Amino acid sequence: MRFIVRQAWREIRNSRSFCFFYSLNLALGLIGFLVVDTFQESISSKVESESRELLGADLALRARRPISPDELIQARKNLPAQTTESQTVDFFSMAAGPGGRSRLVKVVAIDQGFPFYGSFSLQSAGKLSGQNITSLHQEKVAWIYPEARAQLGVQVGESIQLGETTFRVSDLIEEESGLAFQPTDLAPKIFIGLGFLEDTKLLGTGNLAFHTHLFRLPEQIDANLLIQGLEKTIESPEVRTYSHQQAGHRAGRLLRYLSDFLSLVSLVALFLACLGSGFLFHGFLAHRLPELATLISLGATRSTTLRIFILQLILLGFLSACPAVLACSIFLPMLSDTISGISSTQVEITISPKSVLQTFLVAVFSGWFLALPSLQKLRKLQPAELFQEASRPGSRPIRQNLLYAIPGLFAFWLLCMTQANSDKLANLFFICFLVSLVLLYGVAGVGFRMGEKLLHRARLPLRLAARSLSRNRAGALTGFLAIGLGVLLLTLIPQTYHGLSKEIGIDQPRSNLPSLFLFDVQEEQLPGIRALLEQQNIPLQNLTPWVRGRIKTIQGKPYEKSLREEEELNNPDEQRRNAFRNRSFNLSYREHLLESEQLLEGVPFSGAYDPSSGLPAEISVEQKYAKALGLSVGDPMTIEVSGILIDTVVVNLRRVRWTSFQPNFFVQMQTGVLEQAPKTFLATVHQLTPDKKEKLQDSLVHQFPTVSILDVERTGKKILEVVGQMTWSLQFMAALSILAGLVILYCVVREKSRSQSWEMNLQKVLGSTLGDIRKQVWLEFGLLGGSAALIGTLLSLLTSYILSVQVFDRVWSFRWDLPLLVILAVILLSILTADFGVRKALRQKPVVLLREA
Amino acid sequence: MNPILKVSKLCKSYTQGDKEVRVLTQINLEVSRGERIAILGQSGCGKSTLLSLLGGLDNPDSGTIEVDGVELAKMSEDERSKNRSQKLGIIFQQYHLMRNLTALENVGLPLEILNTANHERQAGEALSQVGLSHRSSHFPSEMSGGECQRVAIARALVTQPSLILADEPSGNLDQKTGEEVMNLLFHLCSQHNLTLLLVTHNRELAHRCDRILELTEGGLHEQSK
Repeated sequence: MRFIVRQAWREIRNSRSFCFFYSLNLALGLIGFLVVDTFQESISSKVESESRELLGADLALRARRPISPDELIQARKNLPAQTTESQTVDFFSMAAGPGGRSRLVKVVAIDQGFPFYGSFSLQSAGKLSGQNITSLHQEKVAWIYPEARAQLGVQVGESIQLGETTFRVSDLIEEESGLAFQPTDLAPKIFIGLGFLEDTKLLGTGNLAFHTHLFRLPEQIDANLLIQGLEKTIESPEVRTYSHQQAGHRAGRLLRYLSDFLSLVSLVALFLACLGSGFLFHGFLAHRLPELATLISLGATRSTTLRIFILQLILLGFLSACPAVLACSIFLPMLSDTISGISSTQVEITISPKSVLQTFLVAVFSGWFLALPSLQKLRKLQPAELFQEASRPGSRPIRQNLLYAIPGLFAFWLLCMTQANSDKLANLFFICFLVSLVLLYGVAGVGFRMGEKLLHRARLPLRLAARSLSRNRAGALTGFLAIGLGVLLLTLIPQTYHGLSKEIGIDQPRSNLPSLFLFDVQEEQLPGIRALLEQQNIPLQNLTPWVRGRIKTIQGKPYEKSLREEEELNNPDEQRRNAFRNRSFNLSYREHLLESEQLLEGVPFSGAYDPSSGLPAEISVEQKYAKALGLSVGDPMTIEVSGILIDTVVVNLRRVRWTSFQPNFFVQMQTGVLEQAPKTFLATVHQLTPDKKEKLQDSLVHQFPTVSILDVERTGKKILEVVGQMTWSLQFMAALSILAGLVILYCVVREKSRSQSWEMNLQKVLGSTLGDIRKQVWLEFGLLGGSAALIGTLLSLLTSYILSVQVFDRVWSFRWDLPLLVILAVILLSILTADFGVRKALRQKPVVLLREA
Repeated sequence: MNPILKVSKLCKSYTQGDKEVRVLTQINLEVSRGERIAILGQSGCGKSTLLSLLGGLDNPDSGTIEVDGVELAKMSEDERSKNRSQKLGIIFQQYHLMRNLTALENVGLPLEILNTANHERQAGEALSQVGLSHRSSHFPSEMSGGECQRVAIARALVTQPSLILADEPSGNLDQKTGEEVMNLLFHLCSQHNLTLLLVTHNRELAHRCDRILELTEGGLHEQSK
């Protein structure tokens, strides 16, 4: 054993260049891996540990309408005897400060006992748990967030108006628990006692409010076990049940969307790094095989020789993981700020011992798996060849080497499955990658052979270059695969990111954004609002009716609440789909598509509905919603609006860019059907100066207190900030994969030029000029790099398209400049690196090189 | 006295395409301890094949090889490796030194494989016997061909093996250096009473051995000196 350790260490000590590039490559990949792993780990543990505080209870029922006494009685039958209850109502509304300044706020009316878990941190009163909150229930007081104080111009002790009554602001909130599982709020929260909610008279017909009933279970009772019973009991799809564990899942949902993409990037970075390191090890081992044969001839067993290299890989993996862990320990805490911008919860990013252990395992085993095909050469090594003058042990290619890549591929698939949140993303990525690998291999094999045939009459340097690629097939194929896969993965990330950024609207001109968004506008309020705006010469735009509907049948079958919900929540793909289900939905009607909508399948509306035709009404469904409901073009669907059943048929599916801030709906109906249905309206007001906007908001709230106004510019800015923070994370990871890609490219070309330097110098001995040889080198590596980059780029475009369609909701746009740039850069880099690698050999006297052989 | 090497009815053939090439047919050989044997033969006659079989680096089709009374065919691959490290010293025409190891480390390598204590001291002594103490910290790339071959000789001798298999040790060297290296090898074999099996093209060199055998048409034929 001592010999093995000593020899492994010597190999590392005396192969510094190889060890440096191997470790650098692996360390870069491991950084990407560790960043994402830590990110996911931190979020999961935070969400898990604080899920009770997030919900404020063990279980909750939540609906957009009051939960009926019958439903509550049914629910209680499923709960243990000592269960305690509380409730909350939350909704958006306008509030006005003492100076008349009004803003959109989120009103949360809480009942006694809330929250069961966690507490409120107030500026004056300090920390108050649910049992200690008394003032809110005894007096008409409100606790507000500091942002509301600034926006409404109110101080502690002064009053704010909510609907038809006023509340005295008694304290400022620093932190709160309970109901924090909803995504980032668009407006600051104001807490009042539930007993005083009715005085506001804000919850009239058509106003949207969430009613939540919260339950505290006796200790040792698992909320998840009770959920299924509750779901079966409460049949109304409008009432959703939550365990605190599910609330945790929901809180992490936004972060999980981000980590989906991040995990893809991390896999790319890690695989690129492993590919580079594997390629380096392959070259290194091929170089060392004659010496290993010597070692065997001196009496070392094959297993001893094998163990030397395995130990070497363990040591190198260990050495690569150390700087990666160190770098992440220093820089990862900075990510905490990024995350808190996206989530409503403060997430501390710290590296867990599990992540560190996992990184070390990946570092050690990735080396083994990648080295397996190369180590197989060691098993087949013939030391007897040492006696043969012209033979070089281990130089004969071994065909079955590829089989030894299978464990490595399997391990990579496992890694994809564990790293990606979504199985679908992981499997798609892996399949695309595998198919690309096979395609690259096939194309290269055929291409090199054809290249030699086609160019057999070309000028000498080109002829020799083509011949070299075809005859040194093992080396050329490995190089082609490494460069091709490197380019594929390298361009995949920016290409996918480009599509996503277009969807998010990073490049969207902000002038298109409305200044204010009005909702909950009652039909009878419309003339007054129009008149008010006309006085100030401001047009009311995008006036859109908003109707609440309920699905009764789909494809002729009654639409029932899915019982699979509980199982599905652990799978984000299903979770996303499921999020649309079990609910009533919003719908509207209009004649044509907006600019933020794109028709994907089917035909536009035929015009206004003709009641005498007897045909079902035409509807257009948003593609994600259609997918969640299993709807296709031509499918019938019955919708209930205010008790009236409407037969409809899906005439088209469309994609909606939700970040456009235009009034968009999951379901749009043709005109002529819903005009008489009870509805509210949405509208936008554009291009207001800050002063004008302030004045308009104030006068609207004064005259129409139930109309909610959203300052889209402020919200847009907040969303753009979040997008910016997401972009930062994505760019960091993409940069990491690009860096790993460049290092691998350098390693591949360097290794290949080194392996061929002897042949090139033999040509020199035979009379070729330096210029000729250099030209041949340029052509050979230019051809190799260029063709690999071209095929890799094409496959990358295809992969990014498939991923976009399947995972990122058809968000794909072709970016021509990047592939072109990558192909040119790879050709240039291949030529330069080859020239650099060969220059050293060319400078030597030929006799030295011949002696080396 | 038992022979140090006994070969009986050794046969080895290879397939080239569809054809079977019989390289060695019914080889019989007995070598006594301390004896120096030269094997002559033309290129491609099977000298290297014979050496690799004697070294346990390849398996014969039939026949037996006994080294110091132990039959190689009855050993597992690992046992053959152990036997090689304890009883055999091999010298190659192309030296086959480890490029990343110094001269001293190269010489000490067989001792390290055997887990010998004080391997550095013993390696240093072997290196000084071949007159290269001053080159102990040099790498093969920093030494001449003659020096590399002397390091290879020291490496073959350092474990004091029963049998030295030498494949054209001077084949890669100029005449003068080749003579120096061969003088050294013969001197050390005499000094330590080592058995030497020398494969060479050089008849003059062969005449310095106790016996000369010529490998022709797959068989070994004794030549008179």
